Amino acid sequence: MNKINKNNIEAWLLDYSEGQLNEKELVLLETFLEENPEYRQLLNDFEPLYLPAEEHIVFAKKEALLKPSPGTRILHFSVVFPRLLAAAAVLAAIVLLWPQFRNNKASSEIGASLTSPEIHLPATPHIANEHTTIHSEEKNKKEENTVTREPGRLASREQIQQRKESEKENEREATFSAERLQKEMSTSIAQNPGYNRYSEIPGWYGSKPVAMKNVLPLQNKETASPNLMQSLLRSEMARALIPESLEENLPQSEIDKKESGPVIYLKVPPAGKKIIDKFLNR
Amino acid sequence: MTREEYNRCVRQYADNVYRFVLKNIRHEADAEDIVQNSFEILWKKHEEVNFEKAKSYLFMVARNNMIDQIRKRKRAGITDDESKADRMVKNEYTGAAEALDYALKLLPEKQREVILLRDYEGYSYQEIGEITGLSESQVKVYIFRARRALQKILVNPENVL
Repeated sequence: MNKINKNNIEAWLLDYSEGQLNEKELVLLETFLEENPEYRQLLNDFEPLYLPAEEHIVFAKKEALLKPSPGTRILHFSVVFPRLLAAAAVLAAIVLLWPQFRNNKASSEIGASLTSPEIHLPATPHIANEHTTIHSEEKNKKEENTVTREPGRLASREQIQQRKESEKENEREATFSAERLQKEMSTSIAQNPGYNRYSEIPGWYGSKPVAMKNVLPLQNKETASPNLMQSLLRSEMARALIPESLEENLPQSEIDKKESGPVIYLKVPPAGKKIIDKFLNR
Repeated sequence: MTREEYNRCVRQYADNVYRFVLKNIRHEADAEDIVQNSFEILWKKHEEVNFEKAKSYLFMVARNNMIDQIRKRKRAGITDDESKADRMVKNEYTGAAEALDYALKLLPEKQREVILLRDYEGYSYQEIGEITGLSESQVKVYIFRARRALQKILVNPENVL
């Protein structure tokens, strides 16, 4: 420490009061106090007071400061949700009706229009959301199993068997159980701890606490229960649709509406942009 | 610093920075803006700032923002609501925490800053020096004066520094 003088004596006194001085330094201080007794009085009167930590003061808007991973965007549910729901409903219909279109020759024209690049679902590697990945994998599997009959010829036994299996699988998908969804959600949550939050969203799904991937803000994990409903499937579908670049395209005014409602983080594949753009009238 | 480390900074330090700023400027909306702005700056610089130094960097940025804000308020002639302080002077405060809060408010800016960094955040004197741009010895002098001032105010609230 520097030599003691009247400019730094208070620093020495503080160190002394905190027991930070070694023997040599104590001798130096003692010598200085003998020569300058007014500082001895200052030391004698000094009763250090420490501020208590005030941990009850917290920054409430913390979640808004977080930076989601690339491919994860912040959207404001109150702004986007109605459109997303519409997009989800359309996509859910496409996915559920897809096998019928494929198997029904009479509806081949409609099927062809659905497979146009404008609304084609991306292949598995491009999908950021594993729930959607499941759907796509199943879809791919179904496509492999789809019987391609030649016109005017009856299907072979093998083909009929394949078709039955395909139909069963369609049925399983159509009766998507809450139990299965819950399992998927749990897996998702386990695999992505950083992006999963329990959130109670007033007015949405009847104000029930829901557990969803990438939903913010974290409110009360303890009290939230993953009472998953089939309707959550819709949100999963919607999430699969939104393009990564959408946030950049959103007007700043929409991005700024942070107080307008719950914030959701969405992982989206690059494909599907056209569909969403269409719904958002872009 | 990676994105994950930045997010960890948000979760670990946002409360601390907010507390530090709020206790200094005593204005919730301004304190929130300063915290938000500080994290925005941290994010812009996140590739240059080490995670280990991020907390000090945040406090430094927040402090600079805070000083600018205080200057702006002074220029605009905005003063704090004195009613609470007046009550304190009249010895009508209700509890020790409130009294201490009042005493803290009366401290000169520099003293308040350094004692908050020391007592709230547990920073070493050297770290406080890095954040505030003061020497370690100056930091100790200010802290000694701050503790002494708090002691005086609480013994006699009519003491004016």
